[in-house]
Amino acid sequence: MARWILHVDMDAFYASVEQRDHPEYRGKPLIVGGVGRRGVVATASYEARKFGVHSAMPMETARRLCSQGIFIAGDHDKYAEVSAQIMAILADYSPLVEPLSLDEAFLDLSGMELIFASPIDIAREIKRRVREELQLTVSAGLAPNKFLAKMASDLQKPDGLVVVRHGGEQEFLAELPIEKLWGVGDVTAKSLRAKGFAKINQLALLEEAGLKPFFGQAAATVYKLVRGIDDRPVVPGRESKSIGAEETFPYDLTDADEMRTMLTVMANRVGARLRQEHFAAWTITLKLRYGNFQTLTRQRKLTRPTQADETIYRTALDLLTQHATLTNGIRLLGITVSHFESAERMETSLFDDREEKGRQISNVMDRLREKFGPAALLPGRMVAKPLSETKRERKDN
Amino acid sequence: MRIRCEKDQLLSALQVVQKATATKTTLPILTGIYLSAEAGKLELQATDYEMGISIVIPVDVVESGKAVLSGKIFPDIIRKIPGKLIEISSSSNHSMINIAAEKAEFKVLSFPAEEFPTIKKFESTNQMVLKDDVLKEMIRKTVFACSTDESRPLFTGALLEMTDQELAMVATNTHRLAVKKLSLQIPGGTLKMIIPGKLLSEVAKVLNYEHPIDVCVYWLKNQVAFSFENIYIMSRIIEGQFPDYKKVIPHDFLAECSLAADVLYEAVERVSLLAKDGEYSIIKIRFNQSVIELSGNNPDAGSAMENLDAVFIGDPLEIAFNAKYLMDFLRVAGTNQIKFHLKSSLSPVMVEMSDDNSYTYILTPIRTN
Repeated sequence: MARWILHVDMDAFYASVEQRDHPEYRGKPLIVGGVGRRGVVATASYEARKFGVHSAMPMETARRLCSQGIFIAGDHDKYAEVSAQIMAILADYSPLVEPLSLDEAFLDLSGMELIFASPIDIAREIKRRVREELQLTVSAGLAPNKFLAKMASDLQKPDGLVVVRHGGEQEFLAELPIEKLWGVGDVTAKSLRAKGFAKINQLALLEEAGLKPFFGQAAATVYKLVRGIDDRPVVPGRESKSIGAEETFPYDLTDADEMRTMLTVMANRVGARLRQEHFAAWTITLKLRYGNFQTLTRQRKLTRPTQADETIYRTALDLLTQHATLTNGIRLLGITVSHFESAERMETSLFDDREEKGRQISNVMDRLREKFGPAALLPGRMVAKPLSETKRERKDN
Repeated sequence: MRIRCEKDQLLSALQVVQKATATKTTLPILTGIYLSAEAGKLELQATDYEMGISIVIPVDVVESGKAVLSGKIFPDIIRKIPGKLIEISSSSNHSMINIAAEKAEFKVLSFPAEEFPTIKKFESTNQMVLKDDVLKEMIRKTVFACSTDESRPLFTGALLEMTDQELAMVATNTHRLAVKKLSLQIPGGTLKMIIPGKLLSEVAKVLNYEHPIDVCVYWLKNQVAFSFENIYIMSRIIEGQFPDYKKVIPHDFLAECSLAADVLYEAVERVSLLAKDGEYSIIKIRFNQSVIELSGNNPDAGSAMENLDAVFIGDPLEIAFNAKYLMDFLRVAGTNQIKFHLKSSLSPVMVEMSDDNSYTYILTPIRTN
């Protein structure tokens, strides 16, 4: 049975949803992202991209490049809702759907032609339904594996459909510049090009050892990828793989107390979502960006999975004090929890029942907030906010 | 150096010291085994700076000398080499070592022997002497309960605690706890030290004598050593404050259940086949009058159930266990009768063995929603 993987990727997702819901935005450069002084572009409409605006660009730069643009903050809840509608459509065509984010997913269509038409027809059908039912466009890549499918979906955006046939892998890779290869950033690209490598398929001339200087530990993976081989399975994502929150501050934080407060805020936000999804997390990751944009992420695996805000906060704070130079001024802080375990069943402990107590406290807080509103009960640190809520740039994922 | 020795004797010595060779190290010489031949004896040593082992065997020393050979290749060669007698000799510049037996001959590189950090053996006044079987039993009944999580080193070791009247070995990974006590009159007051579980396991493995022997335990502020027969094993002590284990030993139980350990072990093993979910296997036990019901459930594979006869006193209750923690204890209990002391679905459980009332095992339940 031939393996067929489909990668679907919504076109300029946030911006497209907004243009759909606000006719006045249509045909205009629309930029969704953090609108504060130090916001970052989340999505730019295709009209805005013509001005050179792209995602992850500082909002200030976007404003400079595209002064006539419409800048809006975006509505994360709405996008999540639309995303669920898209995923529901995808689920009609395969039991194996792996969402990568709100606007992107892999489907394993192998064998589905026995039930439906050919894989290509399924891809067309999905595109048609998203267009008709949701008035949005999606680009799709159909290929023998994930790696090729993902690159294929990117080739003819927007509203594209690119198929890589079995046996056509080399031909496909011969067209693609090395910059498109997974793991190739500016630096690697430069050194590869300096050695005369321009297209991905040329890297298949190298043995694994030859790839080592460019890719280090990833050389073994790259060795396979450049030959069009990728046997990673599509893992149905019944659940998110991580939950995170980060904030860019209106000014660089130097005060340790302010940092602690911000970590408390984020730990509470992340913890609440974790409990909502009935997960406990093994790993806590702290992200931090200094005023000079130098960014650092540090993580720690816990000795037992946690559901408690207190544990998330404490671990993040620990990572911060251990790894950060606080005097440098911190522009952004973020906390991500990952490596989930179902919280339906948790090991109990003989000694450090701090975790169990913390979990119980967090649960009580959740219930009170549900009943009386989000501000019903707050950790002391969050009562007197040093930073006004409106000036901060939030980003949850 | 030129020695002649028996293959079997050398091989078993190598298998002992090999355990202390370093595997992950920036100092290559620590991956080697140090040999020192003098006056009818060959001493073998290995250390990874955490643990050190020395063993002395009788050999025919034609010419004394030293060498440090690969901790991997050297034992492999001795294992495979034909015949019963082996001759080991060094070349004139000492950098190559010749290993010969029958018609086979190997030449292996030696690390510079003078650079090997030889073990500084100590025999302090802080000491106690234990019978090998007593020590081995203490280790066997507790050390399995240690944690393997290096991020909390404290729990990767077992506490050896000595008071006026007794000696206790205690191990826990915070989810289960094993305590083995021994009535013992040791003059010299009290002692508390946390000994790496890995070291204790090695000591127990090596204590394999047909005749009873004495084991000397020496300790300094940050080191401990076990010395017996021709073997000397030492290690650093784990620093830190072991939690007050006595505090977490539950009492005021409301129910108890007795049955044979091996019968339960086999049933848990069977039900575990379908109890894997996530990081560990969870087995539920429903304690009823005269029968206990084991069940396991893996949403992706199926479920299993088994009933066992047992003597139970109290109100019926159900507890979920990490199957591994239960089986570890049952394996130690062998064919003994065991008794569960229970309180509630979420309270720690105490298990005891009928033939050893100085041994206690506590395990915490899994909280299921």
